[in-house]
Amino acid sequence: MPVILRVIAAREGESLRRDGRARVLGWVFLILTLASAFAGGRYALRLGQERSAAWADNRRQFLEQGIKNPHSAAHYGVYAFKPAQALAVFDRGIEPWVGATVWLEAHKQNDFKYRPAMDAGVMQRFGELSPAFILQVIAPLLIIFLSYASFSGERESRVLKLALSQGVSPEILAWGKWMGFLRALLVWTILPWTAAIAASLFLAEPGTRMDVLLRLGWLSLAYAFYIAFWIAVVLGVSARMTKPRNTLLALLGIWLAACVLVPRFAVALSKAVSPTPLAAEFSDQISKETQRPDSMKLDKANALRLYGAKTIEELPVSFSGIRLIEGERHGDQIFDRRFSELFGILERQRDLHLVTGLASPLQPLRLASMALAGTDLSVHRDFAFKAEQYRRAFIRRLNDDVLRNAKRQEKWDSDYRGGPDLWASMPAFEYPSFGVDHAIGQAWRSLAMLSAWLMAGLWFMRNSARRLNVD
Amino acid sequence: MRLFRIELKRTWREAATIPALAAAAVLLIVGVFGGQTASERLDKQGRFLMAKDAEKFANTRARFESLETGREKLPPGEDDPRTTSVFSLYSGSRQAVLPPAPLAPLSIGQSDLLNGVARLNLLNRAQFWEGRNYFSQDIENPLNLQVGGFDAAFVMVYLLPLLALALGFGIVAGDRDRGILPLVLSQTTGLAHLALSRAAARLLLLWGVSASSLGIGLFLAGVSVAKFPGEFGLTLFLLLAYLAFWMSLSIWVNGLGRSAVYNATVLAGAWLTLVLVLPSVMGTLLGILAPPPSRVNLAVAARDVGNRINAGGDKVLERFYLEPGHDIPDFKQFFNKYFAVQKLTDRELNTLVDAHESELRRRQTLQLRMAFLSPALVLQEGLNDIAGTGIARHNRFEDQALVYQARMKELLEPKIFKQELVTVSDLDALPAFEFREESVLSMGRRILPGAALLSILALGFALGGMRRLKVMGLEA
Amino acid sequence: MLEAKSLTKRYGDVLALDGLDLKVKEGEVFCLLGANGAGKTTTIHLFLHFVEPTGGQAFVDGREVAKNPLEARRLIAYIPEQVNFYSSMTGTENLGYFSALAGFDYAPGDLSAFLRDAGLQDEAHGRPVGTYSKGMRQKVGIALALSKRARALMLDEPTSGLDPKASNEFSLLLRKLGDQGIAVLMATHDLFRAKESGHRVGIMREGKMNTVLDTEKLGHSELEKIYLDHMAN
Repeated sequence: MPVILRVIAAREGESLRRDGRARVLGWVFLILTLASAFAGGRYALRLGQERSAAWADNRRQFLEQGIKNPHSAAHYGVYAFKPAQALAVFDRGIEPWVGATVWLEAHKQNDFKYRPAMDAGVMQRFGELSPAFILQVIAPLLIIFLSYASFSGERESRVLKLALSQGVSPEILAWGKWMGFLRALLVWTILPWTAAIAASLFLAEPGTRMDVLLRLGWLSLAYAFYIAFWIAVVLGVSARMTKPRNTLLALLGIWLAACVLVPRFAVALSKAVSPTPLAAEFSDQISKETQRPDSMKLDKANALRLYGAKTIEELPVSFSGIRLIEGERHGDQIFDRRFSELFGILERQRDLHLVTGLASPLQPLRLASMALAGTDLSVHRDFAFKAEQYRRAFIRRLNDDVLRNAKRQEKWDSDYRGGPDLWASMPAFEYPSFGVDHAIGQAWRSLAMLSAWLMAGLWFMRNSARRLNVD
Repeated sequence: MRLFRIELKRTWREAATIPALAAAAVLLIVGVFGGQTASERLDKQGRFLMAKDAEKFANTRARFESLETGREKLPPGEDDPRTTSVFSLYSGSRQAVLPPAPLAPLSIGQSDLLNGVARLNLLNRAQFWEGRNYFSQDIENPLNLQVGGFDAAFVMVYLLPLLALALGFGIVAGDRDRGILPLVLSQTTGLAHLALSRAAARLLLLWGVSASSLGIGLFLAGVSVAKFPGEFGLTLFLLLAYLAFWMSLSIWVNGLGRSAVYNATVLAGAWLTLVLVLPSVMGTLLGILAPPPSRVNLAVAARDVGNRINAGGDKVLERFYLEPGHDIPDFKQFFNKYFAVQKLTDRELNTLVDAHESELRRRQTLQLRMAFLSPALVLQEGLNDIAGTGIARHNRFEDQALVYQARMKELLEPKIFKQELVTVSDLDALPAFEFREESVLSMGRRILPGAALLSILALGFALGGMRRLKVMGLEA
Repeated sequence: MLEAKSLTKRYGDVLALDGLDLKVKEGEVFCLLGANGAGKTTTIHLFLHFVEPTGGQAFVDGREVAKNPLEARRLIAYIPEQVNFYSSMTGTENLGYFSALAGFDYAPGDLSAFLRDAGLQDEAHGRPVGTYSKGMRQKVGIALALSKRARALMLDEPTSGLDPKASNEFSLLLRKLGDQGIAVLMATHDLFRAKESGHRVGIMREGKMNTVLDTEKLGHSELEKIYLDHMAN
């Protein structure tokens, strides 16, 4: 790196250090980010404790349900609780907006219940105070307020003329300033960043700490790109505009469009292009499809054929069990189809959010950040999928017990009983969360887009500097 | 007054005015359209459910009638569908739906989060509020919930203040920057009077355009505001107070006597703090000071109650689930026991659910009080109230649904234990659920304090700014 | 050292500089005299390549400016009309920074020496520039020219806003620089100062160099008369 870049960068940093206004803004920013990291930590901790306690209670309740028919136990069911992600400290992603738990019972794939946002109230709609929110929305504003005058202000005070008369190229000047601001911003974010890292590591399961660190590494990179982009844009606009006042207004306009309007536009676009079905129609359709009007006759004929028996009583297994298993098999096909359609729509909507990333770098950053923090739609879908797989295996085990042990008769055997031994033999649901490779698989498109934004920003800055007007 | 008229004309001719007003008009109309799309969806969903409910009810009634008149005879061995216990659980369950309010296109509010649908039967509250249906609330992409929709409330809360500030940040400082200030000061009109006239002219223009755009937008959305003068009047009053607050803040900042760019920075900072940062800081604070009672914990506790009562409940529950092929011996006997257990469970659960609900509502009240600290929250809460997409109308719905359920119990429970059949006149005694709207007057009582607070703040900032402007010379 | 050949600059319809021919030798102090808009600042900006010439060429030390503007700027020191530095930084720090932009790396002692040579008292070196008077800032500008080992110095209205004592000091400083072999090009409308510090004076009007005079051979009143004559026709 040329010495001159370092000199320019150092002066930019030094003058930020001495600027009272910058100091106040810096402190406010620092306090906000620290507070948000603290709030995020509390949130993740509380959620984690609540869910692991509920998980344990739920298991106990299942074991203590007493002596009953295994199918009753299947209806009693269990809850699957989504474990809190350690990096929710940093970015809660969609977590507050999706249910935390799903009830796993016979015959049905249920929806997730208890969205935390449901009871949080109107304030939450204004944005979570999370480190991610601060860096995504507030940090660009901080950059704008600190550096909008960087070229246009120096032009107004004629310092720019003096600097250029020294024989330094405007391009070098721009790069030096860019480096100076970038370094200052990185220094300001180090403390809250460290706090977030410490909190995440503290909350992470012991075995996953390395994974969390890797994710944090990628997150740092994504946010550094984003911040670097904004600095480049601010310097570029500042180099083009003649008056600081116009520079500020133009930049605030750009910020408003990128950070407030485009995300809302993305919501409208995704709903218009790929609407989700009405909940009432969706569930109505499923309940229509899951009905099996002639199932009794059908199951009987199939069972007799399969086992080469003439009567139900001759079957080597209980017909009650066959009925249950066939019912599940039929339902599962429909759930697979309908739910993968539904998640397909949700993912198309997410892709539309990414498309609007052509208009704002916030969009790819948001998606990348959630994916890397493990709080995105793909993790939710995976959890829903694994919980459903567990439900099917769980119900199947109970039904197999009926199949083996209930009376060999056509009528439903309501006298058969399972007990604590059977319940205890059922494995508990454990959710193995994804590793960082999955997160990167989800985030790479957003990360690529973000890199393209950074390149475009730097190109814009360089071009603006080349065309720099001293007057 | 004459000065005001002159300023009105002059403002109109200024370069920034027409783009700002046009932006306000377009954004508001687009916003109303966005809200309309959302409320139409809710409406469609509600109609779908109510139609299914009406159809089911009509079928049931027709069957009961033909059984009652003897036109239809039950084949021997088939259970009578009029058996109260069976009826109460299946064909007797009714749908309660919260329809969108007339001015719903104004604000999507919490309507995409709160469940405005309840399936009512005699089962316990905890169970039906969460619903055993596939979806207890509408299917919304969490990504979209997180960002929030583009509705008129968003335009009013976030964007109109920016336009007000864009029109107001230079009312005095603009003249200073252009060097006209000495000339202005040398005239006999005081700076304070001048600033007030300018601010008032700009405020009225912005408000007038916004009000008419809202009216036009709602008209295009098929809502005639003339039919809801109270609600629309409240909207406009609240909006006027909100915009007046921001315009007065500009007067006050102009009173600091600095340059236009300084004013712009300060006002942008104020917007950022009051609209963007403060609400989310307050939300976080509220989450720490008064976390919402946990629904997960409630569900776990409810399960413990169920387990305990069932353990002594003659193993009734396990035999309840009517699967195809499940053969329930002693049909009526079974359901009597089932309901006996349910009643016991209900009594205990109600205590739990009541405690949960009242804690939730205490928190809601606290939140409404805290909302007074941010003008943006005052407006958002107010608009949600008027649009019927806030917590108040939802609570009203829950309360009315509970009353409906109580009437259901009153009517049916005695018949279960007396082992009587449900009659057609019983069916007619409980018409379909219908939500009763709140009067504008009582809604106004909730909204006006916030609007009054905004007006007082506006007055305070305007007076404070004018006092400084009165004594201001060239050098502040 | 400095040379302009038919140097022309047009802003839209306005001809700001119209075929200027000019030569300034090493050690010479050349003053451009003229009213506002006569083309003085444009001339300086063209030598620094702050603006693109419409026609003609400017040379610094025989090298064409338009072909290698950065090289030209390295040879020239420039002091704008409003000489401003970073106000939160001290005189020494500003000098260090700006000379670094020109590729020099001085020790603090060297920087102080330059400031001292430019006439800035020692006690001011460590104060933020925001507390300086215009004359003091100008001295930092001169120190910058010294630190840069510039071969040519361009000044735009350097004495406007200076009190007589400061102006006088400034003239002496310029002469001293001339004696060191630096070519000085100074734009001004201060007749008296032009006569005091310049070897030659060029009178400009509407983008044209109307006449060039030798100050040694003229009295003040004579110069004023010629100037007014040129302004009048």
